[in-house]
Amino acid sequence: MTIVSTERLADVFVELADTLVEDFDLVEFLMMVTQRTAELIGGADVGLLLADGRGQMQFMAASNEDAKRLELFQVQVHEGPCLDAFQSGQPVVNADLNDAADRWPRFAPRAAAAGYRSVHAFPLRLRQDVIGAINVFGTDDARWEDSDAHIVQTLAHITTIGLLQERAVGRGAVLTEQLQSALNSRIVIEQAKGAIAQFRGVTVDEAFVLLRSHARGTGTHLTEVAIAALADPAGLPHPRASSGHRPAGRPSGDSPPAHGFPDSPPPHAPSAESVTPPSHRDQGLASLLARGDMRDSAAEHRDREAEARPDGEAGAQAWLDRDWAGRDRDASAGDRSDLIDLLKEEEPPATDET
Amino acid sequence: MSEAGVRGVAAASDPASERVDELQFSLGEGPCVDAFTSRRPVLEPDLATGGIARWPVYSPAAHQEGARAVFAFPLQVGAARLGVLDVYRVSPGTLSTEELAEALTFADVATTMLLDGQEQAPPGAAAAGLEEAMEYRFELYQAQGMVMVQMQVSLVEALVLLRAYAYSHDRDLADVARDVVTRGLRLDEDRDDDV
Repeated sequence: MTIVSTERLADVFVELADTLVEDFDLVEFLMMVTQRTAELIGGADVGLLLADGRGQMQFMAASNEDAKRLELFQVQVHEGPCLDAFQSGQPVVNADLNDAADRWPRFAPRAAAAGYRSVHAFPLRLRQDVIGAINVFGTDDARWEDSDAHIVQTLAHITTIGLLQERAVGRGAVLTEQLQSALNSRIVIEQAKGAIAQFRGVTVDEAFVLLRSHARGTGTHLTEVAIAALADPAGLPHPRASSGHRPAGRPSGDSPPAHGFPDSPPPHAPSAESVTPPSHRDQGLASLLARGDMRDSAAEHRDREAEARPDGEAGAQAWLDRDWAGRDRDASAGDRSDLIDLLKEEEPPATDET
Repeated sequence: MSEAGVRGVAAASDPASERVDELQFSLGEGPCVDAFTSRRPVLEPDLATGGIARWPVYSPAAHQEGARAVFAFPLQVGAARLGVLDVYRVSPGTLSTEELAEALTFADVATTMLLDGQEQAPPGAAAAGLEEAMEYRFELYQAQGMVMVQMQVSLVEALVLLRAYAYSHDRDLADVARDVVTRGLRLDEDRDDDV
């Protein structure tokens, strides 16, 4: 019996290929991989670990909360299918969790208790190096055919290619730089979730949805939006105004209020380079991060004003507003209408990733 | 190097390293500057070839001082940046896997030391607490963002405050983080107790 739906498979490969030829955010790409792999298999959850420069596995993405906890648990207890696939470089296929207590005395009972029956794991392999692993947790005991395993291993290979975002893959150092950067970006996103949750009075999960819709609505990298949100938590538009889902936009004739939320400052990233990235593909991370640096200058500017800040969140709002008034002047009207147009687009699909 | 824009060489193992490090500040380019702005390690195994392309002014000057390879590691926790660790080599060549792991560990230790500052935390206290509770490390990062907004401090200060709170109340950092994320604890209320 074949588990993977070939029809859906075509869609997933198209989406992955489309992502890889564009400029993309590594963390968001990995989140997408776990989500799509889970959908492809059906009745399964998926997690992904990456190795840091010390060879230690770190959590990167999962299709849901259970898978996330099981990935973190494997890292914590140093055992489990993901770690086996990482250490051996070989896939783990059709491991029955009811019959795996010898192999993984701590992981197997935990995974079974979470409602999973089977587990599979596939290494993210680059020549002789293994840089991480993808874990599939099955809620039924359907046995995978070789062809199923082959397909998921192929998804793992494509994921590895995605990790080698830069052109100069011949330089071994690039992979290390890239991995360390991705691991740090994952932390940045968690920090931003906290800052937005506090500022908006929402849960961290809601904060993530807000973060991601804004990234999609403005065609900005998730990590970049997170960094901007940390420099200025007021910068994200209110949930109602941030329902865009489109990689790029065009100027729109009608212009409702810039952010559609009277007591909130205008949305972040109205600048030209954020809405229509001119040369991301050529400059890669360097150009993005240069912009991150510009925001840092803005943050430093605010820091200098910090002494004059009144106390309390109302006060915080006041000084954030003041700063925004300054930034507004820098944004041209055309760029703003671009953003407004985007913000009116359809709702993004819901997600379980947190 | 720090968010507040205070830049300088805090420590160097020898005068030559210090001179090479200082070059970056006077020239405004170099691996340290790049590692800080890009939030990722910058590994250049050969200043004479790759280095020239990346830093046309810095590389010859560093070469003059005897450096042949340079490796810069950001001292950071997510978006909270504390500095950069620069490692120089007198002969060209990449770092071995072991050397890279060592450098990353040094960077982690340096980051922890900078965060703790004068707090006089028991050695390894927080690290041990986190090792046991990997699952909650993500909550610590979330708590950090929340405290930043609550207290109107920088992200670095937020982490310092969380750690200081855990030490002074003799609690696991992971527990403190979880309480902050679930809104059971606000560090600013704690401070108000004294008022």
